[in-house]
Amino acid sequence: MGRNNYVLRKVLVGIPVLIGVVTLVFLILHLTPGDPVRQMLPPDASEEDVMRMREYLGLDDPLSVQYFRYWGRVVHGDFGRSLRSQRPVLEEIRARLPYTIELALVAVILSNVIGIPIGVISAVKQDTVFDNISRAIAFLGVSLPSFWLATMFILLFALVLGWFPPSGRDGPLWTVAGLRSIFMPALTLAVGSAAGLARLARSSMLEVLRQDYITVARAKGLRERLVYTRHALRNALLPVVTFMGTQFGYLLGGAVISETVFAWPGMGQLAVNAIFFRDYPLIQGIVFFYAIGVMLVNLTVDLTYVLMDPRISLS
Amino acid sequence: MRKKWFNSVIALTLLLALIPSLAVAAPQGQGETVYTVQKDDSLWAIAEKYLGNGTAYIAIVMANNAKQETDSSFAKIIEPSLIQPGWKILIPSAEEASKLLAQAPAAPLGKLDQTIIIAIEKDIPTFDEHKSGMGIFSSLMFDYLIHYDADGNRIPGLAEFWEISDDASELTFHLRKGVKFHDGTDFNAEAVKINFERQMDPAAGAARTKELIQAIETILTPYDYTVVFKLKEPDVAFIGYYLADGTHGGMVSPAAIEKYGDDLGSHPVGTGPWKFVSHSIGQEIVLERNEDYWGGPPKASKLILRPILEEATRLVELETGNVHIVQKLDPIQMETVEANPDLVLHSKPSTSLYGLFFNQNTDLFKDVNVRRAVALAIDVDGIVDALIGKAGIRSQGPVPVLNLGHNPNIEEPGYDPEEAQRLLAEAGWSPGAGGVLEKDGQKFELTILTPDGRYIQDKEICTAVQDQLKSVGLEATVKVIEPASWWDELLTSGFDMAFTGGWFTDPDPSRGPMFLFFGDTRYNAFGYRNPELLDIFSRIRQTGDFDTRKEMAWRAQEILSDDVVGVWFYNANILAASTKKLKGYEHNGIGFWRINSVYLEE
Repeated sequence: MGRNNYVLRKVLVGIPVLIGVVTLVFLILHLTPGDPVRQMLPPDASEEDVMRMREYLGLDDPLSVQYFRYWGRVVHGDFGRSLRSQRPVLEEIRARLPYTIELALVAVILSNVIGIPIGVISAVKQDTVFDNISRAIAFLGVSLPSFWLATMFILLFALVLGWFPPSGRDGPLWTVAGLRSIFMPALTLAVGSAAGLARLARSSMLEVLRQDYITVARAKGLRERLVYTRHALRNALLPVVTFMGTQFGYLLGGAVISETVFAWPGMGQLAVNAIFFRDYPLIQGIVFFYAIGVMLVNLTVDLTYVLMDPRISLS
Repeated sequence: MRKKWFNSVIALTLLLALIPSLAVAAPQGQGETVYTVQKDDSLWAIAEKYLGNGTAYIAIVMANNAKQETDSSFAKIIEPSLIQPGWKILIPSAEEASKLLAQAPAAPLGKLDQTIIIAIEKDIPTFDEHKSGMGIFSSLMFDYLIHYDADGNRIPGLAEFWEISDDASELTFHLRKGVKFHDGTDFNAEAVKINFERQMDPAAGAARTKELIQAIETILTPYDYTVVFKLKEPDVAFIGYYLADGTHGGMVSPAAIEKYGDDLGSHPVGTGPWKFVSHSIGQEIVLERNEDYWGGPPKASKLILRPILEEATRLVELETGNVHIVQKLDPIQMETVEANPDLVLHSKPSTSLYGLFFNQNTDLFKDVNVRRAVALAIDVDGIVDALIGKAGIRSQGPVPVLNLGHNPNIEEPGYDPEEAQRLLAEAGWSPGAGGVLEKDGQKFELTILTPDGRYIQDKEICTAVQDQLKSVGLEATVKVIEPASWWDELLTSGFDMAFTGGWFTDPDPSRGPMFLFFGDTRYNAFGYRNPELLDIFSRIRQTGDFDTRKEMAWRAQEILSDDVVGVWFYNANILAASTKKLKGYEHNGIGFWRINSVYLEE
């Protein structure tokens, strides 16, 4: 009973958040300079045609009318049509969303596979050469801007070594070509959060290792490996899971850069183009789905706590 | 025996009978012939007889109708398939005919089973030609009544030839016959009319609806392959605005318009050299060879356009051989391309113009001598040389060098900081604190408005200018605007100088940035309104005669130059790069892609 109620309450709390996000984006878009109609028409188009196009797109109505009309449609599941492509916003997003999810998933897996073991081993072998080197690398990983990293990866892995194609998506994940093409964009995306994970896992592990129950475990003669895996790791990973949840939002943001540099056909690229052309309905649709995505992941993280720590209950 | 003799007589008689006709045919290749149309004649047969080739009939129509304008005893051929016995027509010499036909499309090329991959700057959101369309790539799938060649000359597209009435209010196009849309629909005068009717229908959401409604009186289709545009006001620029390459006037199949309606953007059906196959959003656009293209089918079998937003990635894709052409190059990448023996750099000047324009709405630049002083204080040659290099050419005067109305006699002010200081002193500006000029206690401070990355080196040029103005005592601030909101900022925010410009495909003297920025338009944010200039601008599009238009454009440039309305920097080059293996690519300074002959050398 507890869990269902909890989920329902979380979903209800999400509604005002969504309304807030949509309102904010709506205002930011309409109050900042930049005109979609000017971007759509030839530079020497007549003033009449600009007016007529504005009317055709419904952009000549007062802001409040546009705002409520937008909501009126959204509750019916109609996100409008992209100003530029004239395709329904939902169709545009549906064509791109799977690729971003695919990229984000691979990036999450990569960052976990890289970040957590490095952090844990660093903690266990505190102040050794391994610890120092991995801490330095993690520091770099957190600091390096991903557009620079992406370009360096392309130069190294594609141009010099020729291991991976420089850009594009060459097929589904389960094919060799598909895996090769997703590697660099996913790695670019993963580096930042892998470094963050490593640092967090290390400090969290160190803290847990100082706890009394670890001393007790050791005192009762448990093998060192069991101490780490059974007692320390499980407790140390709790903050790591929280971190992964917050990272998801950053991953979506980072995907914009990674997708742009690697010509990955996901939402990030769509968002960049939409913002450049002031494609209002499309930007609003993208932000809407981003918000829902982040909320879903946070909910999942909350639910995961229960599985990981029996002391936490959902109420 | 008797029969054999009889046969010989018949043969001989026939031979003798042929002599007169052989004598008539003798003028072939000896200058022009005046011919009287006989019963059952056809232009095709006449062309075959006199010029040795039936398809040369177009040359007869062109030469005859040109003659008819000065000598009305000749008949005017409006519809080539309808000529009347007794008409007097002019047949050009074979030499003249081949000159006239030189504009006709090339012979079919040998076909190869190859895929050519082009890296393009961004995905194409809709293929609906009447809406935003494919821009410079429209010409891959669509044909226009009139095309441009690589140097910007108008050449026949779907219209084999055309006539403009003297007052430029009636445009007659004689259409190519036997052309079919990709879906098999016939191209004819009715198809042209349907295309324009859709563009003029307010419910269709086309780009230039209102303009076309205002411009067009009626569209007539007197014959199956003749279409006449009757305009409300004479307008010589009509072709360049609405009918030629790069307009929204690419011909779309009437059957497709009927079938797809609003969904036309996902189902492009044109007559062009490439047919639409598929579009994976954000990934690739696949086109295939149009085997029946009227200009001969393309050599390669497939064309793939891959949108890659990031410039550096585009170049690496080319370097690793995954793509064969990169559509747009950042000027800083030119050196990399040139240094690589496997790549070829393509660079041609375009009909674009970029410069710094003075705002004369405020008092600061009302005085022409102050404007001249600022122009003299800027080392344009040095800046263009250092910052633009091979990415463009130094502009001369307010019209792009490649525009047909460019006036080569316009003199640039040159770089003379001493003269600049003298002019400023004369205007009452004297050095004050910190070397900044002052007048009546007011410092000479100005704001330079520029986008960042909308035009090549825009912000960088303004920063260099800021530095040079400082050395003559002018305190400039560079205000940088995000490219997407450029026009809004330019038209609404205050500034003293702004870096802007434009790209105009049609090189006719009646077109160019000066009409936009200094005419009676919304884009004239510069407070400069010269009555003589505005008069020229209002008349030039109604002037049918090219030389008169050119004279008018020349005069306009003199006025703008004398009044120092701006400092002209460069005409941008159109840049592209390809692998060395790619052959048959003709880089086009006008910017349109109608690549039929590209192939890869194995």
